[in-house]
Amino acid sequence: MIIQALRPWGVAGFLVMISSGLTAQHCDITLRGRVWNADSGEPLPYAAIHIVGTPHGAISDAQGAFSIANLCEDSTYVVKVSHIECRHETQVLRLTENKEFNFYLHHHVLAEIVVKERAIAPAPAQSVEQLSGDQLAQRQSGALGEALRQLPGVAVLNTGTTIAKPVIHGLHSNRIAIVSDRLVLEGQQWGAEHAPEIDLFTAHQVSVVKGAAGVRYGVGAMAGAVVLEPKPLRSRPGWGGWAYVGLNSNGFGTAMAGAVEWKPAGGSSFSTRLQGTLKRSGNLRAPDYWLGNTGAAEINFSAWSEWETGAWRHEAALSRFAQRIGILQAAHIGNLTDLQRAIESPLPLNNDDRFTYAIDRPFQRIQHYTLRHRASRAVSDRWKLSAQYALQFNHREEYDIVRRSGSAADKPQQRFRLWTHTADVALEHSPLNHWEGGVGAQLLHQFNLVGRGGLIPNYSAWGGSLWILERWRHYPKPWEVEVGLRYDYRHTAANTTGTLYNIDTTVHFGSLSGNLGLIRRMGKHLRWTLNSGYAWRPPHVNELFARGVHHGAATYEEGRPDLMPEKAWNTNVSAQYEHHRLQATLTVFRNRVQNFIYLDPQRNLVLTSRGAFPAYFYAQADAVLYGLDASAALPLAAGIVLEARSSCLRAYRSAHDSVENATQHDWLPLMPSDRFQYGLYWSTRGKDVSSETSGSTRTYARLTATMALRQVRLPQQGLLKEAPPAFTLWSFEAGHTFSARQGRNDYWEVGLLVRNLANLRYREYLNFFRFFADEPGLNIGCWGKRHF
Amino acid sequence: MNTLAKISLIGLFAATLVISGCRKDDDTENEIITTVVVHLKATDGSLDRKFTWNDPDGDGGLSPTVEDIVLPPNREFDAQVFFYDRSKSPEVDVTEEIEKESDEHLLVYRVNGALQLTITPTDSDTKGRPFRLKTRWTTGAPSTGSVVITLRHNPKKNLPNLDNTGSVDAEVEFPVRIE
Repeated sequence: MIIQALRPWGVAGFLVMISSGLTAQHCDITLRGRVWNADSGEPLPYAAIHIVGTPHGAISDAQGAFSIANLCEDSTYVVKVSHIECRHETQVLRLTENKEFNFYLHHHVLAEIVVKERAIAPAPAQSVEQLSGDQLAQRQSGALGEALRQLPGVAVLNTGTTIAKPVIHGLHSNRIAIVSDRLVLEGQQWGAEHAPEIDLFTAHQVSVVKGAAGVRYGVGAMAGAVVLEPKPLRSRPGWGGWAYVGLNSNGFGTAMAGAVEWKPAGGSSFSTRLQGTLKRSGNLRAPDYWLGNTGAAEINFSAWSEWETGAWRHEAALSRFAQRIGILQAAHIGNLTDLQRAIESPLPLNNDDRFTYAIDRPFQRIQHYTLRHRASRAVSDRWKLSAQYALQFNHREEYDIVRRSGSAADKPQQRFRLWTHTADVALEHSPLNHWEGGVGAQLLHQFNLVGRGGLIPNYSAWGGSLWILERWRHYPKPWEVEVGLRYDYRHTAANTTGTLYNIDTTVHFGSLSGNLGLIRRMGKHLRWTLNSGYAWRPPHVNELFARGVHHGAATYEEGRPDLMPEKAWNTNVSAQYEHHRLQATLTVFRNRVQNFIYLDPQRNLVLTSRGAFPAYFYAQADAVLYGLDASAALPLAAGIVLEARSSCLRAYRSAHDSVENATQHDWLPLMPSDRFQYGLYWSTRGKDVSSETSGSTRTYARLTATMALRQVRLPQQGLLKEAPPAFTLWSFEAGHTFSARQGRNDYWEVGLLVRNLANLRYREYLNFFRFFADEPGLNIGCWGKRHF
Repeated sequence: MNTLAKISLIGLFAATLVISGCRKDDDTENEIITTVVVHLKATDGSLDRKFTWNDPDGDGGLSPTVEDIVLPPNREFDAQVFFYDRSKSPEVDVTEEIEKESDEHLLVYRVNGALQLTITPTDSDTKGRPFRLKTRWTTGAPSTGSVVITLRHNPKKNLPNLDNTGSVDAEVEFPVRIE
């Protein structure tokens, strides 16, 4: 079971829950329990449970469960729980009826099979949502933003159907970090129409950290982070891999992906994986019409190897992401009159109402390259040193509808090239006086080259940071404490040459971020988490220096060079209840952002050669975002679970009323409306067991209704006041896992995903193109994945 | 498998060079229309003047300057509109391109206010459909108002109501006085 052996051991500790047996007769007690991953709540298979000095023992199964029979009541046993990637733990326990014991196993610091976002082992103390197993497998062929849409507290900011950005608790773009394979993605994230350059096929698990995570992930993670983790490389010699084919009815889309893994025989430390993805889809269809020019094409590739030289362990990775995405033609507007006509028209204007795979202007062409080398070694039996260098190159071209054909026909109108070099050093330790964690430093250099006439100037930036993050836990105390501190510095030099608007200036910012997390377990079912973090973000070059008409929004936007950094104080409290009768999570959060940067509508219009545009200048004010996320799963009958989720958010800024000379609140624009999701899940194995449980047959199905209320909390100013009405969308998904050949590791996963089951006509408030066209209608997707 | 490790390292360094080696600056230049000129020539030779709408620093920044069009009453004028990009040096005459691709362009004129002015086309595109770069302006009694001139790109010229189709490349408003 290679697949199981390759689970990501992203934890430093495992919680073992042992419940003792049924009868109180002498030497007839059965010790039953399940081994769990303490942080993710996932079961831990292949842990050995052994009672020292006796022949009694067991191995936990795929669900982490084990049982040891024929133990005696009121006797003292020494129980040893061990796992290949963990330090074993020995615990003396006395069995009486219904008594429970907590174990903490510490991950072996030298094993280095750990795959974790920052090399620091403990999971974040912030509220975390996860997408893995079936839920991820169903959505792997889609965009990152779309896949995260269903998680509580996460919304999606769309620009049409092809561009999706994740929104965490109302904030997005430069206010969240996207971390793939331990590397913060450095793309052109400042733009609302710039989607993250991520291929979900490379991910084995996606976590969304909700709340200030600046200490762990740097200045970008003011409101949270999306963390993608790949599956660890093979630890056993031989070949392996998977192949995927998926089809979608809407847009007649195809996705093909595959990976090959290899580790040579003969005790070599080398292990490698090559992975590739191909995607192609044509125009999507809304219930009443085709959405002209919404095709997309993607070709991605990645390679990852690891090996050892002496005491050093090396990891090298290379990836390329390349995408070409069409943008709804009907959304191309020249000026305000066009926009008003487009809004008034019930059908999209200038729409190419037919199916085609061809991608015409306007479209975006994006490439993202990543190159990474990491070396780590043990410096003592408790300390580990690691160093990482990474280069990222982001190349974004935007092709607009141009007046000239001829010579300019094949040239982009906007072009951004961004080179980012990062060097990281970290020194981590396993528990010392019950504290574990590490210290580290990072250096960053960025160079952004924008074609002439671009929205933003060229810039080169360098930055540095120092951090410390420590977690205290001491068995059997039910408390855990996390403290972190980080200092970041950014220096940016911006300049343009040869344009009308000359900039040649430098800005620099530096600030501390901090984090305090408390975890309290109450009994074996309830876990409380309190996290309070202080994070900041320097204003981005576009907020400082942008100047121009934002097409699609028909607004004139102007930056402000004297903007101050945003500083956020983010607190969330979350309660997690896990019981076989009910699983529930409730998170309450409040994020106070000082100097929140937003686009402030001006009273006057800016006259241009294409007519007058409403002006929006970047401005700052204090803002508050608060709300709650909840989710629950309640087993109803055999294999049937009732599921419910909800996300609610309120977000306002302080506005100064010059007439009444008083401060009042104004709602922030483009904040997700309240969302409720409920549905039924049926499985042959109960609640969402991860698709890891290979080799055995399993079937599941899920019917979900998502209700989005109308956003009624809209800013007072601004031309575009109306938000689309509330809607309820139905979706259905089903999957089946079965062995390809008995007794082998080959198995199949097949799935069906139906979206917008009722072919509902609706528009999303968080879609910039809500003025122009409906959201896509019914889509039936089916896919198959063969693991070998 | 140290050889393999070395090979993959060398491969990665080669890739670094490929990725970071292409730092050539081939600027993309955006074409903008900063200036619209209306050339009016009276059929009786009594007037021959160019009126300019000018915003050489592009969108935002300094406000555009607009010349008032002052015309004598009850006359006919041959009009042609010119488009320039004066943000570049030397300036780019965009009109030539527009004329060359006349089937992909359309000019639309809107007379506002009480202005006694009628505008009729005197040209057509390469396919014999409306183009309206060249027009005949006929003034009536003394009055004031304005003319909005819109350049549309990729209009649907096969539609009967073609004035609102396509996207706007330029839209400027000239104050007009007939006196």
